[in-house]
Amino acid sequence: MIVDPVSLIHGYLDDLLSDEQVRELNQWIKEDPDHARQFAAIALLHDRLHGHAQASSELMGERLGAGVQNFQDYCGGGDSWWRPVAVLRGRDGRLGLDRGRDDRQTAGWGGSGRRRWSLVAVMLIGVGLAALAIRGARHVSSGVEVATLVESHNVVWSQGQVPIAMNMRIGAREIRCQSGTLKLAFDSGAVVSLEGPADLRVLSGMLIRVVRGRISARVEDGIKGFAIETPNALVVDQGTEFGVEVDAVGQTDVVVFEGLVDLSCPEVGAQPVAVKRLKQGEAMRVGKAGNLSRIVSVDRGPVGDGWSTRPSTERNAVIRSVRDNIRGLGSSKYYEIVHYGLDEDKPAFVDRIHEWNGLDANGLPGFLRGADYIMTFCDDKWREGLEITVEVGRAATLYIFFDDRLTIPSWLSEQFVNSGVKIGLDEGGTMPNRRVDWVVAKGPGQSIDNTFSVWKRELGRGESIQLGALANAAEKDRWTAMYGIAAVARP
Amino acid sequence: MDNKTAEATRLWTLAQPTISAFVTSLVREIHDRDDILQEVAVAVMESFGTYDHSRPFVAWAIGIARNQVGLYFRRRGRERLVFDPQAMEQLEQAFAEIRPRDVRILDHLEECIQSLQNRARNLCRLRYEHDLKPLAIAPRVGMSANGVAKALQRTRELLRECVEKKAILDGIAS
Repeated sequence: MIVDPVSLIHGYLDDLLSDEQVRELNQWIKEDPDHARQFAAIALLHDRLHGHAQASSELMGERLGAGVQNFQDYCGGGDSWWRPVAVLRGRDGRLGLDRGRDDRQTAGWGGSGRRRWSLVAVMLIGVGLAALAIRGARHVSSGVEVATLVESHNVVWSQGQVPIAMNMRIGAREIRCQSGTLKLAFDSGAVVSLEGPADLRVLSGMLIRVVRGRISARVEDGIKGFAIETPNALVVDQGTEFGVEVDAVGQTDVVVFEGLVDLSCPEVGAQPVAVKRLKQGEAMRVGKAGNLSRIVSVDRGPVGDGWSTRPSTERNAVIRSVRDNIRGLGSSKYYEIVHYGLDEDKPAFVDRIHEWNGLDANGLPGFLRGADYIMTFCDDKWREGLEITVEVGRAATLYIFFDDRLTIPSWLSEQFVNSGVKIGLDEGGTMPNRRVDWVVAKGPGQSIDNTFSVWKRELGRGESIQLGALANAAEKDRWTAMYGIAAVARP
Repeated sequence: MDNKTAEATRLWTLAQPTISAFVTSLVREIHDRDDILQEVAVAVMESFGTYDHSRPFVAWAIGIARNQVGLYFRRRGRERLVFDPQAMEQLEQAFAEIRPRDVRILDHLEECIQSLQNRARNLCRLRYEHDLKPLAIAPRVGMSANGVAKALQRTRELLRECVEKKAILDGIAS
């Protein structure tokens, strides 16, 4: 418990005081000018430590930007608390995770300091003159250009941020915007979209630090090691499309749309969580204190890179939310809600390369085109006792696409009616002992592997409905697929 | 650079560590602090013509910093500063009284950080380089948030003692 006034000052600067304790500190400062002087002296030291750290980061950024081979303990120095987490930088500048320990000091707080202190001096003076001359150019490029701005939509730059022009080449630098979207094409092969409000720093062609904002990254085939670090996590791509969001309270959300990523995060108490490999259809939230929790659903629009792990803010959204009875970290998979997105060749499941299609050249029935739909987990076909709850935001018709190979469960027959319409599933991917050539085709009626009956029922605005598990135990070993869910607004 | 700009730059360079500490003591989010400090620098340069040279420059610049911090809080929907006007007055006075010597002795900080034990140095890294607060540091080091806060306080006190000793050895006048 913090009680003495000096501890109150330190606690205040570390943002640890309750409102009542801040009031105590306020009262104490007023009592005597010497008290205010004590506060000022401690604040001066605290500020200088921040300045020192910033200068160290600048130096580290220069090193990374220059692509110098580097073995860098992430977060822990000689006594790493991120137990297995060391960022291994190869000669090609790519990052990977290493489980070894390393006692070498890091660039930030070790080694001689002449150069860093010269950087501090430059920063201190720079804040004045540079700000006057180039208002807002707080960080200058290291000189090594690593990316190009290739798209920009409705961007409102943050105060002090020098706007980045289309097709402008950028090096290690800070990017801050209040709103809008930007897309950067990195020379390394990564394409990164960011959505404001965003505050990030490009550290090199293979590393971005995100303080706040929502980032989507797609990395070219064959490229691995592109990394995004946040205040409480490090996400290293292993060939994929993925998203990272740091919200206003410092939580990090990691969502894998395709491929694999390695998520490293701190240990929490006795829980030895350190590196977790997430694959397509999986997501994880890292709390401010490093704790992990499940992300149940991800909202996406029909086109573009936009996504969100928050409840839908789309005013006309038909499907408002989806949740299940899988508790805690029992699953790291997420449901993907795609608004207005159902159409030919659209992905059916978050964890498979399967697509919905019409059975013949006529395509999907017109009433399903443009429906909101949920990409479920195909692997849930084996999960007994599963309960999925879907909530609609508007009066709607809810549709279930149910595998014709399966016995109709009672939860379906009792709550829905079979519309008599069927659609197809075009399955892709690899499966041992099944097919050699198992790829999805383009267009309706092509490469349909299995048929699904469309069941329907009407729901009122704001109504929820509980759906059940797929099949009985006797059918667990059969080739089947999980059901699909879609909803269309009723007039 | 004309004489007026050169004079403004000289005064600002001397005052900047104090102004930075003043802003940091009111705005504890370091990125916001940077933005505000930049705005203060611009405002100081732009309004230097109105500066009364018979008054201490630091006190004048602190007044500008207070206004910029106030603008920041208003933009964030907060009507007032953390401290009440009377406490703010005391603090502004205290920061204005910071002596050049108090700033200069902190030049020894780098050496003093190197003299810290690993554990304390790593706490500093997490707190300042990674800008993590004790609540976020605690699970990484297996301590409570209050334990981290206490350790950081002790570390800052050690650094204070260290720079004072080195200043005496260097003969920096008090």
